[in-house]
Amino acid sequence: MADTLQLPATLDALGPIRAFVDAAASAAGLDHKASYRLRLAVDEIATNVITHGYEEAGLRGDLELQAWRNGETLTIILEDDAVPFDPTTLAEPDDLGTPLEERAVGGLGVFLTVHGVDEFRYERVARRNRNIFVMHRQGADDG
Amino acid sequence: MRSFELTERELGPVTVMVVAGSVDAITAPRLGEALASALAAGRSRLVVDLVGVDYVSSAALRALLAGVKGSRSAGGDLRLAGVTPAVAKVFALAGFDAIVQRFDDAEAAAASFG
Repeated sequence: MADTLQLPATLDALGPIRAFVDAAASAAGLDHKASYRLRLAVDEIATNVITHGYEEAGLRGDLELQAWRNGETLTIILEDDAVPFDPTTLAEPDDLGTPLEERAVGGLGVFLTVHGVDEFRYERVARRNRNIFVMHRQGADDG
Repeated sequence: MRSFELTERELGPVTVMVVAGSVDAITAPRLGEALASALAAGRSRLVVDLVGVDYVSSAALRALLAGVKGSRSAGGDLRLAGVTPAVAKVFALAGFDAIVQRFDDAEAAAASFG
């Protein structure tokens, strides 16, 4: 089964996106911590798509979310037709242990995404960006 | 999900910002502006009380990090209070624990400035 949400790609979408992800996480029986990690991951990538993929490129468009669940996993798919961008190509911040004065903050959102969800993938499909977030359902059993 | 709120009070030389709600790409700039305003007014001993915050994204971390850098370069510091477990996990993942001091509440954080 899949639930979907489509809305204009502006920062005002972040609230509805988080609500959509929360509802999907709740329906899949994810615990509070897993729900937070998933919500954060989708929020970070959606924020990047909206600000860098659309707004800074002078583009307008939509975000489309799908939530799929089966017995083992909950999968959130975020699609857009903004500037092509693969978040997994961003190097992980290697400065987390270095002194504050030398720290850069680039890539922190992607870092939190990759380390927050159980699986994160990017695909380029039919000239669209597709970001895929997967969480394991620990023993939840409503199929 | 609570809406974003920010209130400010002064405990002697320390400025305490009490934040509630979600601190994300939409609301983090308001925190950043409040921190910058305090620094511009010469107040570099800052406490950010996050007890009412139920959600932070990397935008919040960037705003706080800018406040940490600005306050330290002015001879002060930015210290956190009231961090909830969910928010603490994000800070830990991002490596913030090594950078920012945390206290149970705003009074303890303010007192730590001596």
